[in-house]
Formats: sequence, C-alpha cells, structure tokens
Amino acid sequence: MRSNKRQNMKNLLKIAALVVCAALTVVLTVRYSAAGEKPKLAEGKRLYMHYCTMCHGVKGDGKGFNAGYLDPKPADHTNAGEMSKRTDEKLFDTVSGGGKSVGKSTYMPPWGWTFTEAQIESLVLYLRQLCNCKGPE
Amino acid sequence: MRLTTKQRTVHLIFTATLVVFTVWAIYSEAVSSRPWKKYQREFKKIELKDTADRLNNLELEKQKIKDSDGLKKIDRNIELLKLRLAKAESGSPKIIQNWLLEFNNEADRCVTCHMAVDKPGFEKQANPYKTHPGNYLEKHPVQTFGCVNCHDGEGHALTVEQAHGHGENWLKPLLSGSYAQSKCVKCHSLGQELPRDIVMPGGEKVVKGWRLYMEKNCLGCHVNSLYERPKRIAPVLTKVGRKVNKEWIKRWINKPKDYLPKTNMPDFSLEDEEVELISTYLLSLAGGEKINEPKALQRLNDKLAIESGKSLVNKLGCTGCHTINGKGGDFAPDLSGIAGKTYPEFLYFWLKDPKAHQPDAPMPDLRIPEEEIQDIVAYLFTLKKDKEKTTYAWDIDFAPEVIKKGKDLLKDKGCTGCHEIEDLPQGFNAPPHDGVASKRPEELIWTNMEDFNEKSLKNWLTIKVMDPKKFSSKQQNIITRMPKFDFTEEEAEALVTFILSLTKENFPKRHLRTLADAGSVEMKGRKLLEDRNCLGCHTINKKGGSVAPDLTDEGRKVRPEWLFSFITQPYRIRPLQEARMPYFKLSGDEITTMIEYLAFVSGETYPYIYADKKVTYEEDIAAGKELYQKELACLGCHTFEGKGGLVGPEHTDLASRLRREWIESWLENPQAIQPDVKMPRFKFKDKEKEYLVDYLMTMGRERFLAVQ
Repeated sequence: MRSNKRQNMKNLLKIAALVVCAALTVVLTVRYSAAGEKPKLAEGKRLYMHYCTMCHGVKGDGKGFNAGYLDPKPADHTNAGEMSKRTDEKLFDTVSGGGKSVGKSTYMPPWGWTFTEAQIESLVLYLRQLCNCKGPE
Repeated sequence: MRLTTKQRTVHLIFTATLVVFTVWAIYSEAVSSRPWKKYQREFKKIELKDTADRLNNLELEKQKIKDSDGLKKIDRNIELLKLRLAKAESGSPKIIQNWLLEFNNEADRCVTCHMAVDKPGFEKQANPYKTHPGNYLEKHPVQTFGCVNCHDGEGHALTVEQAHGHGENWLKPLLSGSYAQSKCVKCHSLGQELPRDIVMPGGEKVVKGWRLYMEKNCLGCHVNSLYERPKRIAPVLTKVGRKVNKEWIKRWINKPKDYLPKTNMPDFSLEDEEVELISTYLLSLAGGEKINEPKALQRLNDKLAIESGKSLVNKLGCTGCHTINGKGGDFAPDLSGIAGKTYPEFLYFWLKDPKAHQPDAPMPDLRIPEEEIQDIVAYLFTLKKDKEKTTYAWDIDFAPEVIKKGKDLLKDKGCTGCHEIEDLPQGFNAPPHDGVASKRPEELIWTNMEDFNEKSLKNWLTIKVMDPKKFSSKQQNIITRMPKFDFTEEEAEALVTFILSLTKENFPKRHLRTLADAGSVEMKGRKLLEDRNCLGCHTINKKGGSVAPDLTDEGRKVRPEWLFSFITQPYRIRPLQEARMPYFKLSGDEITTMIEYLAFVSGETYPYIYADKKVTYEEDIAAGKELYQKELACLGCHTFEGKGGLVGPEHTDLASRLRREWIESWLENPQAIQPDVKMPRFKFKDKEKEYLVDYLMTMGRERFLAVQ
C-alpha cells in the first residue's frame, strides 16, 4: 500500500518536471525567435525603397519626387556630417515616433505602428550605409 | 410385360434426350442465359467477406473503448452490420429493377448486376461490384433516376452486351466515364448568359465543352433552337482594307495560328488561289481609304520615343489584355508582330479612339495623350517587322470579276458566321444542332472510315471535331466546309460531351434546374467582368492582374453614386497609379450591375445606403482639421484642392468618393486592408479619429452633391 503511494508520488513528480520543461522550451523558443529576428541590411534597403524614397529620394539625398511639396525639406541621408551627429537610438526613435517625437517636421510620419522593431533596426542599418558614417559613441 | 428391343431403344433415346435437356436447362439457367446470377453470387461473396471483416474490426475496436457513449455508438454499428450480414446471407439471386415512374415508366435493371452502386464501402472493387464514384447519387437516388437516364444503354436488358447498349440497332450505347456528364445539362441547363468560369461540381467536363462551344462560336454556323444566335464574335471586316496589308491578310487566312497561336479563328485549309481571292475581295472593301495622321510619323525611329513607348505599354495597362514580347494577357491579340500587319498612321488613329474604326470594338478608349500615342506607335513599330514588301489596298488595281469570285467564295466558306462583312447575311447553313445527338450512326457519313471499328455517334463526333475534313472525298463529291479548330484530345472530349447533350429527349419538368440564375447580381457581374476583362488589370479575391487597384473591398469602400460617375467618366485619383482606367462606354444598366456586383463581392447586402447621417459639430470638425493639417500633416502626401504631396490619392473628392465606415477602418490599420500600402499606421488618442473623419467627410462634398 505504502510503496504504491510512493510510486504514485514519483510518477507525479516526473510528469510535473516534464510539463515544466515543455513550458520552458515553448516560452524560450518564442522569445528567442522574436529576439532572433536580426536586423538585415537587405530588408532595410527594401523598406527604404518602398516607403521612404518618395520623399528622401532613391539615392537618399532628400530629393524624392514628393520633396518639392514639403517644407521643411526631407533629410539628406547621404550627408555624413549631419548623420554622424545622431546616434543609432536617435535614428530609431525618429523612424519609430516620427518627426514630431524628436522636435522635427510632422511631415515625417511615425512608423512604429507599421514596422516591427527589427524592421526599424534594419532601416537604421541601411541609413548608416547611405551616409557611410557611424553615430557618436 | 417385357419390352421389345425396339421399345427399349426408343425409351433409352428419350431418357437420354431428357437428361441432356435437363442438364442443359440447368446449366443455361445457372450460367449462360442468366449471366447476372454469376455476378450476384460473386458480389454476395464480396459483401459477406467485407461485412465480416468490418464486424471483426469493430469488435476489436470495441474492446478498447471505455466510455458509455462510445460503446453505445459502436454497438449500434455492430447491430447494423449484423443485419446487413443476415440480409446478404439470406438473399437468393433475383432480378432487381427500378421502376422509373417519372421517366416514361421505364424499368431499369442495371442494379441487378451493379449491386453496389449505392452501397458505400466498395469503392475499390472492380465493376460491376463497385460503389458509384463521386457523390452523384446523393441528390440523384438510383431508385428515382435509374441508371440509363445518365449513362444511356438498354436499361431492361440483362446481358452485358445488350445492357450496355451494344446490341444491334440499339440507339444509345453506354456513355462511359465522364461522357455521362452530357446528361447533367439536360436538367441543369447552362444557357447562354452565364459567366464562362461557372463551376458545376461533378460536371466539369461538360461545362468545359459548353465553354468551348460558346467561345469557338459553333452557333455562328450551326443553328440550335436551345440558344439564340450570338452577336458575331470576330471583328467587322467591312473596313479591313484600310487597316491591314495584303501580305499579312493572306498569311492570316492561310494559317491564323502562325500569327496568333491562341486565336479563336480556325484553319479553313484553303488552297492558295482561294486565299488570294478572299484576300482581294476583303481588301477591296473601303479600299484606297488610307488613314491620314501625319503625327503618327513624327516620332517614328526616335530613340527616346521608342524608349518611352516601351515603358508606356507596360505602365498603362496594355499588357492586361495584350501580350507584347511574351509578356501579358491573352484576352486581346498579341502585338509582337503588329508592325508586319498594319502601318503607323492606322495604329495612331486606332489608339486615339478604337471605336472610330469599329463602333463595337472590345478595345476601350485609354484616354492616352497624343504625344504618348506617338511614343507607343514608335515602339510598336520596332517589333518584329517582316522584311518583305507590303501592299495596301490603295496600291492595288481591283478587277471586278476577281472581287465577285472572292465574295462568292467567302460566302460559301461561312466567314459571315463570325464576321460582319458589308451587309452580307449572318452565318452559313451548317447542319442544325437540334437533336444532333439523337442521330443514328447510319445517318452519318463515314467516308474513308469504312473499316472503322465502332461506328458510334460519339466516335464520329470526336473525329469530326478533331479533323473535320476526315470524311470528305473529292471522288464522291463530299465537301466539308467545317474548318479545323486544332482542339487537343481533352478539349475534343469535352466538346463532344457537350454536343452529346443535344438530344431530342426531354426530362420531367420537376427535375429541371438552372445551374445558377443568370439574372442574379453575381452572375451578371461575373459575365460583365469577363466580357470587359476587368481582371486583366484589377484583382478581386486574389484573382486577377496587379496594374490597377484591388477591387475586393470596393463595394464597402466607395459610394455607389461616385462609382457610377467614375466608370462613366474615369479620372486620375492616385498620382502614383500609372495604369489608366479606360473609358469603357458601358451602358447605365451595365454600370449598375457592376456596382451591385462589387457590393456583393465585399459583402454589402445593398449598396445604396447613406452612411453619413451622423450629426457632426463645428468644433469637432475644426479639431479634425487641426489634426489633418498640423499633427498628422496629411498634405505631405495627399493633395487637396491643388495643394499637397503626390504620394497618396487625391483628397479633393474624398467625401464624395469614400464611405465613412471604410475610412474609419482604413485609419485604424491601413496595412490590414492593403498590406503593402505606403501610408503608415497612426495611433489616435480619445476621439481624435472621429474628429479627423468628421473633417474628412467635409472634403469634396460639393463634388458629391454634383454627382448625386
């Protein structure tokens, strides 16, 4: 009778351990797969070409076909002098929160509800390639 | 009493004869004259074994089941199988017949051998022990409809040969496999007005045949009282002389598929002399009337113009219907060889307004500015030009007797079945198709096919549609005028399946159904969509082209009054949209059909609802205006009354164009409606979105009122 009870306890423990392991695996997989979505330069370029070039231009020089209708003018992303003054975080915030969030023109809309974080990071990567510069340390 | 030897001999002979006859009678009864008994015994074995196997399986399964519900269920199944087993065991061979009260009181005995037709579970057996494939019998129980109403054959016969209609003089041999679908349309009539992409589950083959019958315009030459004679499907040829050159028209008539592999124009297998006569006659019509458009030549051979023309044909939406250099749709002719067919001035004249040359031309007016037409003409005339010389009508001296000969020949060949030419009457009197499928094989001409094995109507029709000239013979003076359509074997099978439905038999009215109501909004809309090839450019429910906006949501999105005015007189809405909505010159009824159809597609039950009965307040509108102009800076991308950016659609007509509910759902999440749209998603606080929409609904209201 007693050994039976002990056996039951053992089994219960085994099952509990298994359930915990399984739950952990699932949680971690989900977490890592989200975190594992690394910023990619190619994705940044694709997004830039599709969403940004109307104003910032295909070359990133701020001379897109729509720039003529805007005042203030869109930023020139090839200007290394200006771009190197901004940290990657600042670029991220500008894309995510729009011009208004960093005290600039509202013509730059916020993209944070359209893109994922990884997508915005990809865009920042591409912006760095456009200016061929780094942000301040 | 002692029998004499003679008596004994007589007795012996009689006894022997009696024995022989008895044995023969038993054998004949059991085996030879009632072959169905053999099949029934065989099926009994199969059924007993199958039922026993299933019972075994169920018993095994039962041991694993613990819950009472499952047990109850399995017990019931076991009980049913046991009943089936008992029934199968007790039955002795007998003729089974279905008495078809509604179908001329006929007796149909096919199930005597085909015992499993309506018993599921014998799908993998060979015939006659097989369950009927598909779910046809669900709605057509064999007790009511019998077998012969779909499959033909001789229903009351009980030998294999006779029952399958291969007995001598029996008119309806078995329609095997998908040929039986020809009977579907006897009750589920397809009519003429249904969209060609209609689907009949289980009747795919006959629908395909119907589609071919309509597309290839068989009714152009063959009268059929089931259908109205359709409008002539091919171009009007009365003014062809001012359009094409002689070298091209001769090549075209000779072998149409060499120029357009996908054309519906068949091959008439004409002799060279006949081609010459017909071409000359056609060119003599409106001959010498060269189109005078000097602008067409101005930019010809100009490199920049050619470059621009090339990008225009891709951008404007030409390839939604035409193929150019291997890319594009096949609704309209491939343009890759156009330079060898016509001359620049004509093309310019045509592009300016297709209806000026041919009032009912399917090509719409694309509202192309003159300079762009010049560029397109310049580009198209760089495409595959045949180097040989070209002769046009105005270069030819026509001899009246040649013209007359050509005209007579053209009438004889039946060209007017599809083409309108001068005032020649429509069509050619090919054999009528009324009851054509009730013809007996002996009524048909089998010239050159005397040794043909199975002279059935089905085989004759197959030969005829595949190679119409097969039965013609010069010696016997048998002339075939029917041209060759180059059907594939599969197409021929489909077409023959459909033609086999054209019998004289009539089915009871109670069972007649239309597959779909051709007058319904859905069917009328789909037909219109097909006729105008809207999906060459637009997409609906993931089907169609991508040069113009997706219309799946259109009925929910725009106001019907606006849509009516837009289709009547299209204009540019999206600065980034390069394809131009053509001017289709649809009738008011057609436009209404289109609006109702689009509402149907997007799940709107009734399109004419006025949604903005909402009471709005000045201060809300002012708050919305503030958001629009400052906070969200909408004018960065959108233009309103001449001011603003060129990325998104114009807002000048916004309130007249869009419906309030749609704008609300769009603003909530644009990407949810159009995944790759360039507009970002905004997050609104409190009632901001409502204020914004209040303001948006004031933009371009005047236009809306004008439209109303």
